Amino acid sequence: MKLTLTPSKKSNSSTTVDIDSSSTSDCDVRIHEGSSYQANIPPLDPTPLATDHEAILFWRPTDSISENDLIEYIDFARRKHRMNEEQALAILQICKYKISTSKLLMQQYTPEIDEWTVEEKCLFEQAYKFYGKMFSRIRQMLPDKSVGDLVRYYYSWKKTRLHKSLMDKHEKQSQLMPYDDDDADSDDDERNTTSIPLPTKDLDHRGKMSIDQTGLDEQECCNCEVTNINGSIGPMHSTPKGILCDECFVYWQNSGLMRPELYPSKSSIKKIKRPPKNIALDLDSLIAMNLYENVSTSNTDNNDIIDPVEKLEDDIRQELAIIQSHNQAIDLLTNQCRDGMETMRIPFLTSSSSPFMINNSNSTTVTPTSNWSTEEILLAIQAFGKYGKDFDAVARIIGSTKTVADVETFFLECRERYQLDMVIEINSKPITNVQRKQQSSTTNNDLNSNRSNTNDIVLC
Amino acid sequence: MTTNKRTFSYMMNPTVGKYHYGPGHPMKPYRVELTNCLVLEYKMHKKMNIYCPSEASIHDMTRFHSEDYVDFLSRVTPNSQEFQRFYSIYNLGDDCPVFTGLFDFCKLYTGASLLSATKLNHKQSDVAINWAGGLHHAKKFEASGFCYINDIVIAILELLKYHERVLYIDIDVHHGDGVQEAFYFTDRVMTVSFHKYGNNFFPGTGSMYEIGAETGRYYSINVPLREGITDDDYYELVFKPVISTVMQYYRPKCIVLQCGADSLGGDRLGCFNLSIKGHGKCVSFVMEQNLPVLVVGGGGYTVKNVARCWTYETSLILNEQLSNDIPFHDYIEFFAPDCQLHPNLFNPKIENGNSRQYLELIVQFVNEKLRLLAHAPSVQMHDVPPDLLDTDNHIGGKPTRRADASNEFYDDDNDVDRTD
Repeated sequence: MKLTLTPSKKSNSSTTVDIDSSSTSDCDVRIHEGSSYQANIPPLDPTPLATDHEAILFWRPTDSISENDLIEYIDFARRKHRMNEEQALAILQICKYKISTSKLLMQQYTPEIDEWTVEEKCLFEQAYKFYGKMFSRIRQMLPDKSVGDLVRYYYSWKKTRLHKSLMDKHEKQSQLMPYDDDDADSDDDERNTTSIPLPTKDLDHRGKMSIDQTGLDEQECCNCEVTNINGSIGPMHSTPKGILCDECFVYWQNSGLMRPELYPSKSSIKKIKRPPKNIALDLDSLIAMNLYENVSTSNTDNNDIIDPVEKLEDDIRQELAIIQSHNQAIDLLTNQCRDGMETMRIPFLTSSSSPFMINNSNSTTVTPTSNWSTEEILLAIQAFGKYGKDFDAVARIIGSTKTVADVETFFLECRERYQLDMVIEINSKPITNVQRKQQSSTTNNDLNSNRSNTNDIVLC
Repeated sequence: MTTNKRTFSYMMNPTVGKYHYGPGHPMKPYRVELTNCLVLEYKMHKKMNIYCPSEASIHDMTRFHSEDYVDFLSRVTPNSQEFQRFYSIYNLGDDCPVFTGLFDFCKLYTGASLLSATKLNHKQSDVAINWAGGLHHAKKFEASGFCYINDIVIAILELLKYHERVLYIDIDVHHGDGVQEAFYFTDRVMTVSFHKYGNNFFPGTGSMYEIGAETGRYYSINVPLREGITDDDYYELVFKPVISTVMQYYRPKCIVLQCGADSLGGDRLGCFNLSIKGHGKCVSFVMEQNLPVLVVGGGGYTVKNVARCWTYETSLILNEQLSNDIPFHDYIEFFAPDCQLHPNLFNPKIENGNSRQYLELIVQFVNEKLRLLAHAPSVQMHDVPPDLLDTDNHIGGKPTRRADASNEFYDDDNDVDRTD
């Protein structure tokens, strides 16, 4: 069903249609016949006319530039001039594939980048919350932007909306599992200040792991900060979380979490303000960033000062791009392996191409049979030895004559006959690198000793 | 041209993503922009000519559509009282809302299709691709099914100037009614549509008994299917046999392929269960016929799957192999978290209502009708284009003139030796 539930409303609208329809129908929907519905077929005229369209050719593939140069050029366009790939290629094509001239042209050509200021972005978000996707209304709040620009921005923005920064994730985690983690504490307020780890009282306490039991009773509980004055509370316990009073200790023992505080904390900086795990902060880089910001606002026309935040973002993009290209390489290699495996298959078992090829080959697969030939059994036993109970892998090795279900039934039925369990067990002990080295070294030693023996023998 | 040296054209309009049908509407022009993005990221521009197509003019559109409809479209603006009276006449409103930039959008995609057709006509390209087009529901004087201007019909009309027979293949999950209706009476265009039929599924037409009329009898093929059809059934049992027979009996000079991606599994409006690879098999089969092909988009309402599907099909057309991992780019979040080109689209909740018997029955029916084609009175091999609709009035029609050789000893046509 399309958006609405009604199929075409022909029967109702036939009266209001102001074009004479040559046929009337009593069905709701049918193909309508008559000159008012059909197209006029032009006569066949094979004499070619002059081409008179005004379309712009963006790009024609060419051999005159090497691929690396092209990639470099596109990267340059993106970095320096914030141009996307189409525009870069179009300019290159206009300059007849000369990279140097196109770089010059790029500087003169100001692409129509939608520069969205922070205010405009905020306004857009507000308007979106209010109006939803009615872009005409949103436009009333942002009259400078055309509806098209708004739509464009919406699509690039909508996915970033869901991005949680690392701090957000951190906070969420700390809310779910308070105090569970050593670094799980962060407050809203603290986030905006420079969260350089300040030495706190608690840090000292935790650091010290209270070796001496004697000084324990005079210290505060890390959690509820109650002190054991005059023996009012039971003994303090030292734990990896810090010094805990009796109640907190019992709670922690039972649940693994810190007891939620019942009373407002005494000290303002109560908890350790550590940044989340993956953030590395040091004073110098923060100062440098601050300095750059101040500098860059004053030298707005100097393109050489790179905003460090932007630089970081660029770095992130590059890393992600590298990750994806690695993924692609892995994919390619896996496929090559799979294809290569095909060449090692015993020919009489498979007479078709691999089902793993990317290209859509219209080949027929060999139908699976339920009889196990000796070669298949041998293969299966070796496969079991190598892969254990991974029926999928074994089925793949045998090829398309046996399905996974066949392999399973074979395993169940012929377990004892071929002592498959033992086979699996013998070969399943993982050989670690250490063992391998030992093995190889022992073999080397053996060789050496043999050689030395022979040498000795020779010598003596 | 040999297959090795085929030239390919790709229509890329940078502003296509700027149009929005309105809140809650499933059709999103942005999917074309996403496709373009992916195509560039995969570096497929190395093998294609990329064009920024010019816009179509009102004159181009009135080749098919009625003048007042096109005129209305050019003037209408959203949210204005005076135009709303006319909405129901032209079927605008719910399904086909009036949005800002509507007419620009229409000019855009129609112009792209028209340019593709021109490229094929002048043999400047063997295959032309326009993912923004393919809006096959639009009728002569009204909008329908999210389509306002039927760019396919206009492109085919252009192709008909240079090609005797055009084959139109439609693998959108909805019946290609606009195109079928436009060419229902002619044998110069054969329309073949594979779609879901039944249960009042939009648009409601497309039963297998709609075979054309008058001169166009047997030149419309409809393959109605039930929901939940899977790759193998679709391709092996239905698509390949039907298209092979059609090629054999009709022998078109060029092909127009509408690749609606709403036949994929997991589509917001569709109810088939094809995978991207299965969908792509149909495209590669058409490519193998070695004819000029105009490839257009169409339906598709799960934006990321549409982009993946059309990118994959572009790669099939170019005979490039793409890695399954989508390269990193600005809009990669649309494909997160897996960032794969071929995710699993199979929706197990939709049961396959197409039994083997049913499919074989339909294909059999289609084959029967196609066989009648060879004996149809208006033989398709003639080169003289038929006049509009009067071709079946041969009796008492215009006499054909023959050139007289100098050594002929007869007066005129009426001078015959024997009367039969």
